[in-house]
Amino acid sequence: MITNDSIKNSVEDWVIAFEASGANRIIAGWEIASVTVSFLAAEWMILPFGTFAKMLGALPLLLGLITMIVSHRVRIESLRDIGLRFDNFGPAMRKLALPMTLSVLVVLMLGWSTGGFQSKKIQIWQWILWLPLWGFVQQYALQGFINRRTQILFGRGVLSSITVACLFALLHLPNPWLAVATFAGGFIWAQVYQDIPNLFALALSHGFMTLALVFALPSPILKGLRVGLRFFS
Amino acid sequence: MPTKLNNRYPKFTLLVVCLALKSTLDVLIIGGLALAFYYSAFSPSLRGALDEAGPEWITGWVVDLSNLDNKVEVQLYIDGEFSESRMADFPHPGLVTAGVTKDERHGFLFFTPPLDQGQHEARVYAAYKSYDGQRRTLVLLGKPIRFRVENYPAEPYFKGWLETANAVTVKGWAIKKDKTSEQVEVRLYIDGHFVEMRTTDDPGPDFSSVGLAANEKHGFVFFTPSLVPGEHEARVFAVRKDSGTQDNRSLRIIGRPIKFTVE
Repeated sequence: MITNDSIKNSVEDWVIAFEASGANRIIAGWEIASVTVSFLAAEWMILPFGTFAKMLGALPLLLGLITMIVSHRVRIESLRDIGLRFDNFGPAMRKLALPMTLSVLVVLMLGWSTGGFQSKKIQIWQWILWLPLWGFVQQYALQGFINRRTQILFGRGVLSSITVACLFALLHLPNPWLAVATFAGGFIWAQVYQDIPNLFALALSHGFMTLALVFALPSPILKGLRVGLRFFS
Repeated sequence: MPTKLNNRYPKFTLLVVCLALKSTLDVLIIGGLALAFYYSAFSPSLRGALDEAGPEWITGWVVDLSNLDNKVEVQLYIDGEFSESRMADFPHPGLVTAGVTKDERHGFLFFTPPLDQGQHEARVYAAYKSYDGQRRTLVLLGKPIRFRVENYPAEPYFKGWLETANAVTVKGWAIKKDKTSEQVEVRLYIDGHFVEMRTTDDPGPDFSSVGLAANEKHGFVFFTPSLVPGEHEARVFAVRKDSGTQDNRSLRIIGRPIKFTVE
């Protein structure tokens, strides 16, 4: 039976839901900004300044990590939700196959046209093994956290993926070619993650694409993959 | 936050507090780093000033209050272009009188390079080394000074000529028109940099027999300093003194510049 009290309660619930949505988006935006500031502070202000600074550079990164972990707990996000799972690894790799193939072809063509294929770094197996690990760390922060928060802001789709791509490129400035590559890669990975969230597949893809870039492109273009203030040294 | 919202999302309060704390720490860390960088790179203990700048010289002083024994390197810029650098170890008695230092040797004096006629600006910077010499920053001393150069030729006050300039010597002569018996103070500049000053006391051509001067001692000979191989330019200026202050002293070019090559 519809009574005045029941109408009042449903309106109140609707207002709360609306406010929750607005507040939730503001908080999500704040989370994205906060974590991005941590990475920017490390690469622009702390890490370029030597060995002691590396220890100091861990501080904003640690604060960023704590923020992400607290956020996951508050929003009741499981490891599976974030993408730490194997059940969809195959479908994620299949979805990545085509864009990766096209991207590698583009990179190879760029390499031929710019006189690349001269890197000695690909002979260092320790560096090659490190690539997917470092890719995993980046993809966790980018997709497992930032992508999930941009979806709160803008919903699933192109807009949130472009936002993720822009932030990823921002974190790779002022290296111009790397910023372009990470924008393209960031968009593709964001789209794949939104469909099939699997960080392990993205980590392998990230590592493989980094290997392709270093293998194909000459060092005057890549500038040693340096970002932040170290780009100028 | 509305009570029902907080009841539904109690842990959001924790997240907001966490974000607020982190943002505060970010501001403190970044602010602290900026301050640390500023104090390490720019040394707030440097004190100095530009006293005087004119067509003949530029003077001033600089002291490192954190280490009064330290002599500071200073660099002269004219119109935004680097001109010369030297250590600030020139006597400046005013510093002792004012009680700033016990040692008066914290001044600097640059001889103004030859400049085109017109207005110019002099700036002097103290060079500060940090990070074990990996970084050098320039700290402006006092305020820039603008001055005017009247770069007239030696006529009508002097007669003179720059005869030769080569890798060994720079020779010529100069006679003051109104006082032909007096020696003339002449200055040698090579590639725009002051090299040496002397008076015309070398025997030159037979000035007295042609009525140019009362005696023969109006020639000058500079020994060319060691120069890097290549082309160089020598200019010699006569110093015209009126009342002795810099405003009434002027450099007047003798003859014309001579280019020479050092092998």
